Amino acid sequence: MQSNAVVLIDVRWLNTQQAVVDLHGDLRMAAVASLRKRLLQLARKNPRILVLNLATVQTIDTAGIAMLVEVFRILQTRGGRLILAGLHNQVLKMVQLTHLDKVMDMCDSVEAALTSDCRGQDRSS
Amino acid sequence: MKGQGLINVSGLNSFYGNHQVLYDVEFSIPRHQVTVIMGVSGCGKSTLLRHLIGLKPSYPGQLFLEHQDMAKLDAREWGCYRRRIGVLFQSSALFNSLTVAENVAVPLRVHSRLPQETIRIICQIKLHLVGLSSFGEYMPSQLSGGMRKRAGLARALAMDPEILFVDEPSSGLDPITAAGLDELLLALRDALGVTIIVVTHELESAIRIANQMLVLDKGRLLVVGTPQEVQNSNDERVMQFLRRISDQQLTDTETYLAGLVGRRTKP
Repeated sequence: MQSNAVVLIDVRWLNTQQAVVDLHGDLRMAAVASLRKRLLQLARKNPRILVLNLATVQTIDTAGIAMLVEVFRILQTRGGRLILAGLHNQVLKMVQLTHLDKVMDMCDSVEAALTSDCRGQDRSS
Repeated sequence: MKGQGLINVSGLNSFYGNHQVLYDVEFSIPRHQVTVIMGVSGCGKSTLLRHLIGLKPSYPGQLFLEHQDMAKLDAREWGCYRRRIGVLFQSSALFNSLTVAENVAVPLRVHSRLPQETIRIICQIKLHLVGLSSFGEYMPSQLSGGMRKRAGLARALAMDPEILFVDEPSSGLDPITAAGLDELLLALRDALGVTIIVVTHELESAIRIANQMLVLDKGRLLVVGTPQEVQNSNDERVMQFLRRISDQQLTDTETYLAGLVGRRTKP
Protein backbone atom coordinates (compact mmCIF):
# COMPACT_ATOMS: atom_id res chain seq x y z
CA MET A 1 0.00 0.00 0.00
CA GLN A 2 1.37 3.38 -0.99
CA SER A 3 1.45 5.96 1.77
CA ASN A 4 2.15 9.64 1.45
CA ALA A 5 4.25 10.72 4.41
CA VAL A 6 2.70 13.57 6.32
CA VAL A 7 4.53 16.84 5.91
CA LEU A 8 4.09 19.46 8.57
CA ILE A 9 3.35 22.21 6.16
CA ASP A 10 2.85 25.20 8.36
CA VAL A 11 2.50 26.26 11.95
CA ARG A 12 0.75 29.57 12.28
CA TRP A 13 0.65 31.40 15.57
CA LEU A 14 -2.26 33.78 15.18
CA ASN A 15 -1.40 35.35 18.49
CA THR A 16 0.27 34.17 21.67
CA GLN A 17 -2.65 31.92 22.45
CA GLN A 18 -3.87 30.44 19.20
CA ALA A 19 -1.99 28.26 16.76
CA VAL A 20 -3.02 26.48 13.56
CA VAL A 21 -1.16 23.48 12.14
CA ASP A 22 -1.82 22.45 8.54
CA LEU A 23 -1.23 18.76 7.83
CA HIS A 24 -1.17 17.02 4.48
CA GLY A 25 -1.01 13.42 3.26
CA ASP A 26 -1.41 10.29 5.33
CA LEU A 27 -1.26 10.42 9.10
CA ARG A 28 0.08 6.88 9.41
CA MET A 29 2.62 5.00 11.46
CA ALA A 30 5.56 5.80 9.21
CA ALA A 31 5.07 9.53 9.67
CA VAL A 32 3.95 9.57 13.27
CA ALA A 33 7.34 9.05 14.87
CA SER A 34 8.77 12.38 13.70
CA LEU A 35 5.54 14.34 13.54
CA ARG A 36 4.59 13.36 17.08
CA LYS A 37 7.69 14.94 18.55
CA ARG A 38 7.01 18.27 16.85
CA LEU A 39 3.35 18.38 17.80
CA LEU A 40 4.04 17.53 21.43
CA GLN A 41 6.65 20.29 21.58
CA LEU A 42 4.07 22.67 20.15
CA ALA A 43 1.47 21.60 22.72
CA ARG A 44 3.95 22.22 25.54
CA LYS A 45 4.17 25.86 24.46
CA ASN A 46 0.75 26.24 26.07
CA PRO A 47 -1.49 27.52 23.30
CA ARG A 48 -4.96 28.23 24.58
CA ILE A 49 -6.32 26.86 21.30
CA LEU A 50 -4.49 24.53 18.93
CA VAL A 51 -6.25 23.82 15.64
CA LEU A 52 -5.09 20.82 13.59
CA ASN A 53 -6.21 21.32 10.01
CA LEU A 54 -6.85 17.82 8.62
CA ALA A 55 -8.70 18.92 5.50
CA THR A 56 -6.02 17.50 3.22
CA VAL A 57 -5.14 14.45 5.30
CA GLN A 58 -6.34 11.48 3.27
CA THR A 59 -6.04 8.67 5.78
CA ILE A 60 -5.21 8.13 9.42
CA ASP A 61 -4.35 4.93 11.25
CA THR A 62 -4.34 4.07 14.94
CA ALA A 63 -0.83 5.44 15.40
CA GLY A 64 -2.08 8.76 14.07
CA ILE A 65 -5.05 8.61 16.41
CA ALA A 66 -2.72 7.86 19.32
CA MET A 67 -0.73 10.95 18.47
CA LEU A 68 -3.89 13.07 18.58
CA VAL A 69 -4.67 11.58 21.98
CA GLU A 70 -1.26 12.59 23.34
CA VAL A 71 -1.58 16.14 22.05
CA PHE A 72 -5.08 16.35 23.50
CA ARG A 73 -3.89 15.16 26.91
CA ILE A 74 -1.06 17.67 27.12
CA LEU A 75 -3.30 20.55 26.18
CA GLN A 76 -5.99 19.46 28.56
CA THR A 77 -3.64 19.33 31.54
CA ARG A 78 -2.36 22.81 30.70
CA GLY A 79 -5.76 24.39 30.23
CA GLY A 80 -5.60 24.40 26.45
CA ARG A 81 -8.02 23.16 23.81
CA LEU A 82 -7.45 20.97 20.76
CA ILE A 83 -9.75 21.41 17.80
CA LEU A 84 -9.70 19.07 14.81
CA ALA A 85 -10.71 20.89 11.65
CA GLY A 86 -11.76 19.64 8.25
CA LEU A 87 -12.23 15.96 9.06
CA HIS A 88 -13.71 13.96 6.23
CA ASN A 89 -14.12 10.45 4.85
CA GLN A 90 -11.79 7.88 6.37
CA VAL A 91 -10.30 10.29 8.91
CA LEU A 92 -13.72 11.08 10.31
CA LYS A 93 -14.65 7.39 10.36
CA MET A 94 -11.53 6.56 12.37
CA VAL A 95 -12.19 9.32 14.90
CA GLN A 96 -15.73 7.99 15.28
CA LEU A 97 -14.63 4.35 15.44
CA THR A 98 -12.30 5.19 18.34
CA HIS A 99 -14.99 7.35 19.99
CA LEU A 100 -12.72 10.38 20.08
CA ASP A 101 -15.54 12.42 18.60
CA LYS A 102 -17.11 12.20 22.05
CA VAL A 103 -14.25 14.07 23.71
CA MET A 104 -12.46 16.07 21.05
CA ASP A 105 -13.78 19.22 19.47
CA MET A 106 -14.27 19.08 15.73
CA CYS A 107 -15.06 21.78 13.21
CA ASP A 108 -15.69 21.73 9.52
CA SER A 109 -12.96 24.26 8.84
CA VAL A 110 -10.16 26.25 10.44
CA GLU A 111 -12.26 29.38 10.14
CA ALA A 112 -15.11 27.78 12.03
CA ALA A 113 -12.68 26.54 14.67
CA LEU A 114 -11.30 29.99 15.28
CA THR A 115 -14.73 31.51 15.66
CA SER A 116 -15.86 28.69 17.96
CA ASP A 117 -18.63 28.00 15.47
CA CYS A 118 -18.44 24.25 15.62
CA ARG A 119 -19.39 21.13 17.51
CA GLY A 120 -18.11 20.55 20.99
CA GLN A 121 -17.63 22.90 23.87
CA ASP A 122 -14.72 24.53 25.56
CA ARG A 123 -13.63 21.75 27.92
CA SER A 124 -10.49 23.54 28.93
CA SER A 125 -12.25 25.53 31.65
CA MET B 1 -1.47 -14.27 -13.92
CA LYS B 2 -5.23 -13.98 -13.90
CA GLY B 3 -7.45 -11.77 -11.78
CA GLN B 4 -7.30 -8.19 -10.71
CA GLY B 5 -7.67 -8.64 -7.01
CA LEU B 6 -5.25 -7.82 -4.22
CA ILE B 7 -4.43 -11.52 -3.99
CA ASN B 8 -4.92 -13.78 -6.98
CA VAL B 9 -4.92 -17.57 -6.74
CA SER B 10 -4.36 -19.40 -9.98
CA GLY B 11 -4.43 -23.17 -10.30
CA LEU B 12 -3.34 -23.81 -6.72
CA ASN B 13 -2.63 -27.45 -5.96
CA SER B 14 -1.47 -28.42 -2.49
CA PHE B 15 -0.10 -31.62 -1.02
CA TYR B 16 0.87 -33.04 2.30
CA GLY B 17 3.37 -35.61 1.19
CA ASN B 18 1.62 -37.56 -1.55
CA HIS B 19 -1.83 -36.65 -0.29
CA GLN B 20 -3.39 -33.89 -2.38
CA VAL B 21 -5.66 -31.55 -0.47
CA LEU B 22 -6.28 -28.71 -2.93
CA TYR B 23 -7.08 -29.19 -6.59
CA ASP B 24 -6.65 -26.38 -9.09
CA VAL B 25 -8.13 -23.69 -6.87
CA GLU B 26 -8.58 -20.36 -8.62
CA PHE B 27 -10.09 -17.10 -7.38
CA SER B 28 -9.28 -13.49 -6.59
CA ILE B 29 -9.54 -11.57 -3.35
CA PRO B 30 -10.83 -8.06 -4.02
CA ARG B 31 -9.43 -5.10 -2.13
CA HIS B 32 -11.29 -3.51 0.74
CA GLN B 33 -13.88 -6.29 0.88
CA VAL B 34 -14.70 -9.31 3.00
CA THR B 35 -14.07 -12.70 1.41
CA VAL B 36 -15.43 -15.70 3.28
CA ILE B 37 -14.06 -19.17 2.67
CA MET B 38 -16.48 -21.93 3.67
CA GLY B 39 -16.68 -25.66 3.54
CA VAL B 40 -17.03 -28.79 5.61
CA SER B 41 -14.30 -29.93 7.94
CA GLY B 42 -11.33 -31.25 6.07
CA CYS B 43 -12.22 -29.58 2.78
CA GLY B 44 -8.95 -27.66 2.59
CA LYS B 45 -9.95 -24.29 4.04
CA SER B 46 -7.13 -24.15 6.55
CA THR B 47 -4.60 -25.34 4.00
CA LEU B 48 -5.71 -22.59 1.66
CA LEU B 49 -5.38 -20.09 4.48
CA ARG B 50 -1.87 -21.34 5.23
CA HIS B 51 -0.87 -20.66 1.65
CA LEU B 52 -2.35 -17.17 1.75
CA ILE B 53 -0.50 -16.16 4.90
CA GLY B 54 2.75 -17.74 3.80
CA LEU B 55 2.93 -20.65 6.19
CA LYS B 56 2.80 -23.12 3.31
CA PRO B 57 4.78 -22.33 0.20
CA SER B 58 3.17 -22.34 -3.21
CA TYR B 59 4.67 -23.13 -6.58
CA PRO B 60 5.44 -20.36 -9.09
CA GLY B 61 2.41 -19.13 -10.98
CA GLN B 62 -0.11 -20.13 -8.31
CA LEU B 63 -0.32 -17.24 -5.86
CA PHE B 64 0.07 -13.53 -6.57
CA LEU B 65 0.09 -10.52 -4.31
CA GLU B 66 -0.98 -7.81 -6.71
CA HIS B 67 1.43 -8.60 -9.55
CA GLN B 68 4.08 -10.30 -7.47
CA ASP B 69 4.44 -14.08 -7.62
CA MET B 70 4.57 -15.02 -3.96
CA ALA B 71 6.63 -18.13 -4.69
CA LYS B 72 9.43 -15.83 -5.79
CA LEU B 73 9.49 -13.49 -2.82
CA ASP B 74 12.77 -13.31 -0.98
CA ALA B 75 13.08 -13.15 2.80
CA ARG B 76 12.94 -9.35 2.91
CA GLU B 77 9.84 -9.26 0.71
CA TRP B 78 8.14 -11.88 2.88
CA GLY B 79 8.93 -9.69 5.88
CA CYS B 80 7.29 -6.74 4.15
CA TYR B 81 4.23 -8.86 3.37
CA ARG B 82 3.92 -10.07 6.94
CA ARG B 83 3.96 -6.46 8.16
CA ARG B 84 0.99 -5.78 5.91
CA ILE B 85 -1.11 -8.59 7.28
CA GLY B 86 -2.74 -9.51 10.56
CA VAL B 87 -3.75 -13.06 11.44
CA LEU B 88 -6.22 -14.29 14.01
CA PHE B 89 -5.60 -17.99 14.45
CA GLN B 90 -8.40 -20.29 15.50
CA SER B 91 -6.72 -20.92 18.83
CA SER B 92 -5.76 -17.26 19.24
CA ALA B 93 -2.10 -18.21 19.84
CA LEU B 94 -1.55 -15.76 22.69
CA PHE B 95 1.71 -15.74 24.60
CA ASN B 96 0.74 -17.17 27.97
CA SER B 97 3.50 -15.41 29.88
CA LEU B 98 2.42 -11.93 28.74
CA THR B 99 -0.58 -9.91 29.79
CA VAL B 100 -3.31 -9.25 27.28
CA ALA B 101 -2.02 -5.72 26.66
CA GLU B 102 1.53 -6.97 26.27
CA ASN B 103 0.31 -9.53 23.76
CA VAL B 104 -1.32 -6.79 21.71
CA ALA B 105 1.86 -4.72 21.91
CA VAL B 106 4.12 -7.47 20.54
CA PRO B 107 3.72 -6.66 16.81
CA LEU B 108 4.21 -2.96 17.52
CA ARG B 109 7.38 -3.55 19.47
CA VAL B 110 8.77 -5.93 16.84
CA HIS B 111 7.79 -4.10 13.66
CA SER B 112 7.70 -0.41 14.58
CA ARG B 113 9.80 2.23 16.26
CA LEU B 114 6.90 3.87 17.96
CA PRO B 115 7.54 5.21 21.46
CA GLN B 116 6.25 3.32 24.45
CA GLU B 117 3.42 5.73 25.21
CA THR B 118 2.11 5.60 21.65
CA ILE B 119 2.17 1.80 21.78
CA ARG B 120 0.31 1.86 25.07
CA ILE B 121 -2.42 4.08 23.64
CA ILE B 122 -2.73 1.94 20.51
CA CYS B 123 -3.16 -1.15 22.69
CA GLN B 124 -5.88 0.59 24.70
CA ILE B 125 -7.71 1.49 21.51
CA LYS B 126 -7.44 -2.02 20.05
CA LEU B 127 -8.61 -3.64 23.25
CA HIS B 128 -11.58 -1.32 23.39
CA LEU B 129 -12.47 -2.16 19.79
CA VAL B 130 -12.77 -5.84 20.71
CA GLY B 131 -14.54 -5.18 24.01
CA LEU B 132 -11.64 -5.94 26.33
CA SER B 133 -10.66 -2.48 27.52
CA SER B 134 -10.83 -3.57 31.18
CA PHE B 135 -8.76 -6.69 30.69
CA GLY B 136 -5.39 -5.39 29.57
CA GLU B 137 -3.61 -6.51 32.73
CA TYR B 138 -5.14 -9.99 32.77
CA MET B 139 -3.15 -13.04 31.78
CA PRO B 140 -4.53 -15.18 28.95
CA SER B 141 -5.19 -18.01 31.37
CA GLN B 142 -7.62 -15.77 33.23
CA LEU B 143 -9.78 -15.23 30.16
CA SER B 144 -12.57 -17.28 28.71
CA GLY B 145 -12.09 -18.87 25.31
CA GLY B 146 -14.11 -16.18 23.64
CA MET B 147 -12.16 -13.44 25.37
CA ARG B 148 -8.88 -15.01 24.30
CA LYS B 149 -10.15 -14.95 20.74
CA ARG B 150 -10.95 -11.26 21.03
CA ALA B 151 -7.52 -10.58 22.51
CA GLY B 152 -6.03 -12.41 19.56
CA LEU B 153 -8.02 -10.21 17.22
CA ALA B 154 -6.79 -7.08 18.98
CA ARG B 155 -3.23 -8.29 18.43
CA ALA B 156 -3.94 -9.10 14.80
CA LEU B 157 -5.16 -5.52 14.40
CA ALA B 158 -2.27 -3.89 16.25
CA MET B 159 -0.41 -2.78 13.13
CA ASP B 160 -3.56 -1.67 11.30
CA PRO B 161 -3.01 -4.37 8.71
CA GLU B 162 -3.94 -3.90 5.11
CA ILE B 163 -5.07 -7.52 4.99
CA LEU B 164 -6.66 -9.37 7.89
CA PHE B 165 -6.94 -13.15 7.95
CA VAL B 166 -9.38 -14.59 10.45
CA ASP B 167 -9.68 -18.31 11.09
CA GLU B 168 -13.03 -19.33 12.57
CA PRO B 169 -13.73 -16.06 14.40
CA SER B 170 -17.03 -17.20 15.89
CA SER B 171 -15.92 -20.52 17.31
CA GLY B 172 -16.30 -20.49 21.07
CA LEU B 173 -18.30 -17.27 21.09
CA ASP B 174 -21.89 -16.82 22.15
CA PRO B 175 -24.23 -15.50 19.43
CA ILE B 176 -24.26 -11.96 20.80
CA THR B 177 -20.49 -11.70 21.01
CA ALA B 178 -20.15 -13.33 17.60
CA ALA B 179 -22.51 -10.77 16.12
CA GLY B 180 -20.46 -8.01 17.73
CA LEU B 181 -17.36 -9.41 16.13
CA ASP B 182 -19.07 -9.45 12.75
CA GLU B 183 -19.98 -5.80 13.18
CA LEU B 184 -16.41 -4.98 14.12
CA LEU B 185 -15.06 -6.67 11.00
CA LEU B 186 -17.44 -4.65 8.86
CA ALA B 187 -16.48 -1.45 10.67
CA LEU B 188 -12.82 -2.19 10.01
CA ARG B 189 -13.54 -2.72 6.35
CA ASP B 190 -15.40 0.56 6.16
CA ALA B 191 -13.20 2.74 8.38
CA LEU B 192 -9.77 1.39 7.51
CA GLY B 193 -10.41 -0.19 4.13
CA VAL B 194 -9.03 -3.47 5.43
CA THR B 195 -9.23 -6.42 3.06
CA ILE B 196 -10.57 -9.25 5.18
CA ILE B 197 -10.45 -12.99 4.56
CA VAL B 198 -12.51 -15.11 6.92
CA VAL B 199 -12.56 -18.88 7.20
CA THR B 200 -15.75 -19.97 8.90
CA HIS B 201 -18.41 -22.61 9.24
CA GLU B 202 -21.00 -20.13 10.39
CA LEU B 203 -23.32 -19.62 7.45
CA GLU B 204 -25.35 -16.88 9.05
CA SER B 205 -22.24 -14.89 9.87
CA ALA B 206 -20.82 -15.46 6.41
CA ILE B 207 -23.95 -14.17 4.70
CA ARG B 208 -23.98 -11.17 7.00
CA ILE B 209 -20.43 -10.03 6.37
CA ALA B 210 -19.30 -11.43 3.03
CA ASN B 211 -18.90 -9.42 -0.13
CA GLN B 212 -17.64 -12.63 -1.74
CA MET B 213 -18.04 -16.25 -0.66
CA LEU B 214 -16.07 -19.31 -1.67
CA VAL B 215 -17.26 -22.85 -0.97
CA LEU B 216 -14.66 -25.59 -0.94
CA ASP B 217 -15.37 -29.30 -0.98
CA LYS B 218 -12.75 -32.04 -0.90
CA GLY B 219 -10.11 -29.59 -2.02
CA ARG B 220 -12.04 -28.23 -4.96
CA LEU B 221 -13.67 -24.85 -5.34
CA LEU B 222 -17.37 -25.42 -5.93
CA VAL B 223 -18.57 -21.85 -6.25
CA VAL B 224 -17.34 -18.28 -5.94
CA GLY B 225 -19.73 -15.38 -5.80
CA THR B 226 -21.77 -13.02 -3.73
CA PRO B 227 -23.74 -14.55 -0.86
CA GLN B 228 -26.83 -14.36 -3.05
CA GLU B 229 -25.15 -16.12 -5.95
CA VAL B 230 -23.84 -18.85 -3.65
CA GLN B 231 -27.25 -19.39 -2.11
CA ASN B 232 -28.73 -19.68 -5.62
CA SER B 233 -26.16 -22.27 -6.67
CA ASN B 234 -27.49 -25.47 -8.21
CA ASP B 235 -24.45 -27.47 -7.16
CA GLU B 236 -25.64 -30.42 -5.08
CA ARG B 237 -22.80 -30.23 -2.58
CA VAL B 238 -23.23 -26.49 -2.17
CA MET B 239 -26.94 -26.97 -1.52
CA GLN B 240 -26.16 -29.75 0.94
CA PHE B 241 -23.74 -27.46 2.78
CA LEU B 242 -26.10 -24.51 2.85
CA ARG B 243 -29.08 -26.59 3.94
CA ARG B 244 -27.03 -28.43 6.56
CA ILE B 245 -27.85 -31.86 5.20
CA SER B 246 -25.54 -34.34 6.85
CA ASP B 247 -23.48 -36.77 4.89
CA GLN B 248 -25.20 -39.53 6.84
CA GLN B 249 -28.16 -39.18 4.52
CA LEU B 250 -25.97 -39.71 1.49
CA THR B 251 -23.99 -42.64 2.87
CA ASP B 252 -24.05 -45.73 0.78
CA THR B 253 -25.72 -48.01 3.32
CA GLU B 254 -25.41 -51.09 1.15
CA THR B 255 -21.67 -50.71 0.83
CA TYR B 256 -21.39 -50.01 4.53
CA LEU B 257 -23.28 -53.18 5.49
CA ALA B 258 -21.33 -55.21 3.00
CA GLY B 259 -18.16 -54.10 4.62
CA LEU B 260 -19.51 -54.61 8.14
CA VAL B 261 -21.22 -57.96 8.04
CA GLY B 262 -20.33 -59.24 4.62
CA ARG B 263 -23.79 -58.85 3.19
CA ARG B 264 -26.12 -56.17 2.01
CA THR B 265 -29.63 -55.51 3.28
CA LYS B 266 -32.12 -58.30 3.23
CA PRO B 267 -34.16 -58.54 0.03
